[in-house]
Amino acid sequence: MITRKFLYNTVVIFLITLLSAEITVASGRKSEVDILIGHKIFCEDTVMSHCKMPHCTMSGCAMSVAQLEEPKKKNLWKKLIPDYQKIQFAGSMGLLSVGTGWEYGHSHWETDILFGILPKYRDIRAKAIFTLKQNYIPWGIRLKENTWVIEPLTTGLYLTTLLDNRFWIKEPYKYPHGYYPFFETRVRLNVFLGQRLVYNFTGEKWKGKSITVFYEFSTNDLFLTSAFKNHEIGVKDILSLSFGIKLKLY
Amino acid sequence: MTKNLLRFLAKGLLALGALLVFLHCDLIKYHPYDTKVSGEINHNEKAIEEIQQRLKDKSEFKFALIGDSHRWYDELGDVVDALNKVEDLDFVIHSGDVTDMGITQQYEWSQRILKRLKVPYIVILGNHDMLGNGFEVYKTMYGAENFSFELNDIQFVCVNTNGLEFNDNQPIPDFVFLNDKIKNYPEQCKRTIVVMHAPPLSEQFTEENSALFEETILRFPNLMFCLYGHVHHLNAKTLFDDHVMYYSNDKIKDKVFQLFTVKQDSYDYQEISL
Repeated sequence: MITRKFLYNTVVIFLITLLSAEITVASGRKSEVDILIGHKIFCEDTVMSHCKMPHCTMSGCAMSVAQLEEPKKKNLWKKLIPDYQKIQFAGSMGLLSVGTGWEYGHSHWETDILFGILPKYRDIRAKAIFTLKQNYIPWGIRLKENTWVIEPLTTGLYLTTLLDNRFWIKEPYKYPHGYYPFFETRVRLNVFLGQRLVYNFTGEKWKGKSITVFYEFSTNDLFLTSAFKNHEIGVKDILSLSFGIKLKLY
Repeated sequence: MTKNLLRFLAKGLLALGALLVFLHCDLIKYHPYDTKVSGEINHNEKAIEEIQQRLKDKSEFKFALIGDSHRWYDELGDVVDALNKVEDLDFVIHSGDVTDMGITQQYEWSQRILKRLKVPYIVILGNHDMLGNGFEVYKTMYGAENFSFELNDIQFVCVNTNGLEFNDNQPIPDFVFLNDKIKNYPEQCKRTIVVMHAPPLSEQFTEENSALFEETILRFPNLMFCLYGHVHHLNAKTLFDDHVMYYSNDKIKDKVFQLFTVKQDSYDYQEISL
């Protein structure tokens, strides 16, 4: 029988497969140099921040073909090192979350892992939240000389887990089977839409470094189901707003 | 040319986004289970005071029983609208499960709908309301999970019966509370009504507690009847081999409610569907 739990497991497994496929296929594709050279030709003629690499300016690719052909050894170990840090405020991830992540797919894809703190408020204790976030950024529009880049749309999914034993994924044994059907209390699947603004540093020392500020509107599986077909619950009830900053400073 | 257009569009979209954000800063939320209660707190106490004021010069009173609203918000809204049209209604009892998963925002959504009632209302703690940290939110929003109040010569005893939700070694229902209520029974009261969410003999009770519960409440002077929810079915019957009538409400999805008119020596019972 197709239960909601079954659907989630399927979606999660599908996403993980997609992710792994994306990473493995990408590494088996044309060498990075070929991609860069191909991109350089494309780069000359577009305002789209296709790879958002700092050597791309309004007038084209600042690196010569010779420079691009220089062998760049990026072994697997280096690929595992995260590319940026993120700090995010609110967004159903806690009051403040900090984390790190990996950029790939020509900077179109980002995967973050974040830890958030949720203050006590009326509860018996404060809680910690772990978030796994998948971001997709389809476009980056370069403004002045690649210093500023607008990413007018970001979207993605994220899973938040409450690190507190009062919340569960699988119903505790004491309950009769299927006592609390449909949803669990520990994990929430969120979907979001947002926008970002990137500032690329100029100057020799700061080349390749950037700071991105962003905001997101998000909602989750339970709230979407609650609002669906219920006129009492409106769009504003189920949306959550958050702000964040992404740092690429090393 | 298209370059500039794209840049213009991008700037426009960003500006629009910024405006949207600026207008909706109230949508900043930390987590569904954040227990950040922004509205009214300690509701039941205030409602009881209001009810007692209303009944000061009345010898009879009429109240409605609803419950188990979970995620059926539209249906709850419809029932609230229907209750507002009932003549001479004095108050409403919601027998519990006012949320689906004890989530803070779910409590606030139900609160928002119930607030449309023209008469005061009381909410009992349900088992779904205890999921996660829902119990803390209930205690903040509504008050103590075991409480009592007097209306004319009747004592209402509202007791938490969600035994399966507790892990600690504490007796649910709280027999210390019940015995104390029996021992310190108010002088002016002559009859008793007991209100709960889960009934004895349900999975929320242990077998021993069910028998002990019934034994205990029979010691209340003139136990008129008991009210409960949880079973998602209208019931008007005895649960044990005694005279005590147990009335339960249906799930709000079926849009029915029950009316009790308590008179000087008797009471009337009605079932109304929308």
